[in-house]
Amino acid sequence: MSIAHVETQRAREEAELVAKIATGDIGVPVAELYNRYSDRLYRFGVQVLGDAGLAEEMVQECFVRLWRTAGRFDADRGSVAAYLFVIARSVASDVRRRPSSRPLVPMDDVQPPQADNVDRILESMMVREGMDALSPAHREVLRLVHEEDLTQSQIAERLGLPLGTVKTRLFHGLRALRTALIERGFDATT
Amino acid sequence: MPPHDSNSKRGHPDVVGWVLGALDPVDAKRFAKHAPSCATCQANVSELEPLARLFRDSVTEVKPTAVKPPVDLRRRTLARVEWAARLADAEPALTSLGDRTGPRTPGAREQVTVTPRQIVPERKNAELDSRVTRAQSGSTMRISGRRRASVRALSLGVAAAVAIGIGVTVWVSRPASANLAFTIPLHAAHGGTASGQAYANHAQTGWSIQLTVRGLRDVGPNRFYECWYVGPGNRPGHPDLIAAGTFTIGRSGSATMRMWSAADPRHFPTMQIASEQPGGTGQDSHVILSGSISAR
Repeated sequence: MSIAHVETQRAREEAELVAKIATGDIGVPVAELYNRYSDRLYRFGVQVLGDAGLAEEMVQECFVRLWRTAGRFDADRGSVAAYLFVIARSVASDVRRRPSSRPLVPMDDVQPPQADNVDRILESMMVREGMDALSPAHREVLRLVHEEDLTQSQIAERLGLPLGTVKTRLFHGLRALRTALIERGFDATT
Repeated sequence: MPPHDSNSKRGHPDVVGWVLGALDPVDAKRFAKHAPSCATCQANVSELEPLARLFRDSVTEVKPTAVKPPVDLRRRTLARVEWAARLADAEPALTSLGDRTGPRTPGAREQVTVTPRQIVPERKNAELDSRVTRAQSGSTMRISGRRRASVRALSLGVAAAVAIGIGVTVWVSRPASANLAFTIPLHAAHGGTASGQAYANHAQTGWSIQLTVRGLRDVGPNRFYECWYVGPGNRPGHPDLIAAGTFTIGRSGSATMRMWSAADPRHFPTMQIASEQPGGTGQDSHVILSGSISAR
């Protein structure tokens, strides 16, 4: 497994954790990755499966499969985060297909998506998390574009800003969003 | 609008508005006319378009949710990984369930993918099947076909039953270690005269369980008894259970049976015997016997 050319400090650390798991060192590396990703994996499970119990099952199975396939992880091809969520999609799909996977603790405010929307759900969650990481100024202009479908001029008028300022914020905001997604292991350049 | 310097680091001021679809109509028309003759703008558009498409297509129906996993999920997850790793070390008895995340490497050592299935009594899994030895005292012991499994008979001393989907029961015939053993006295959960005990001995590849029950009534053709290992975190909505097997009881109301499990009684210290029916929702699961471990 190569961990050369890994861009960020965090990605490098996590690649080393997976490398340790691949050598049989399970306890601390798995615990550390659990600490970093369990919340997001669980939220993904809740969104996709619509059930807390099934989401718990999914989280557990994700780390089992991570252990099982750790030797195949290649940091040159992607981040640990991206790898984990590839696993999560597969596990969620398997859990959904089980005849016995009836919701036991349905989440009142979540409707399980159709099977072919799982990827879209995951992407949307990633975008939302990326947006949460932006500065308020960047987040607001992007939100107005996305949720209210405003043009740059309309945004300038709404916020009482010069048009040039809005354009600048959109430029930097979109790039900051891309950085935030990359940091979360989501490559949005393809 | 002043002439645009395409050589600026930021590129054209409208490129981001263009990819996001946020340009006013006049600006959009102007950019559309400009871009085909500007390599910088084309490069910027190519670079930003995938992200912009992702951003545009992200659904607002994904409501932000502040739910967090239960605190004990960490312990259960780490235990499950550790358990799977231990089983993987137990060769040659164990068979992989099939790794769906990638192709097998020819000649590679099989890795056991069996993992304990933690489920609540309400959840029935029709895919898992396991078998146990026959009962000794007048009742027919048979693990029901509620679950689908593949069973491989091995040479003397070793056999393995492999479950697909949610659970595994591992069969070995090696002598159990005398170093680690537990007794689980079972008492009637809701009064009555039923009782039992389980003796759990640690073996190299799991736990050999000898279960004896007395005073159980025949629950009829549409129901059976199921043995569960219960973890300390088990509570409504947060299952912490491993199914150990199902059995029926004859007129004597008594039976002794042997089971194998990878569930460590130290992690799942309570045993329950529940009355259930196949294909049901599990809502009518009724605990008959219950007890917790004590060291022998």
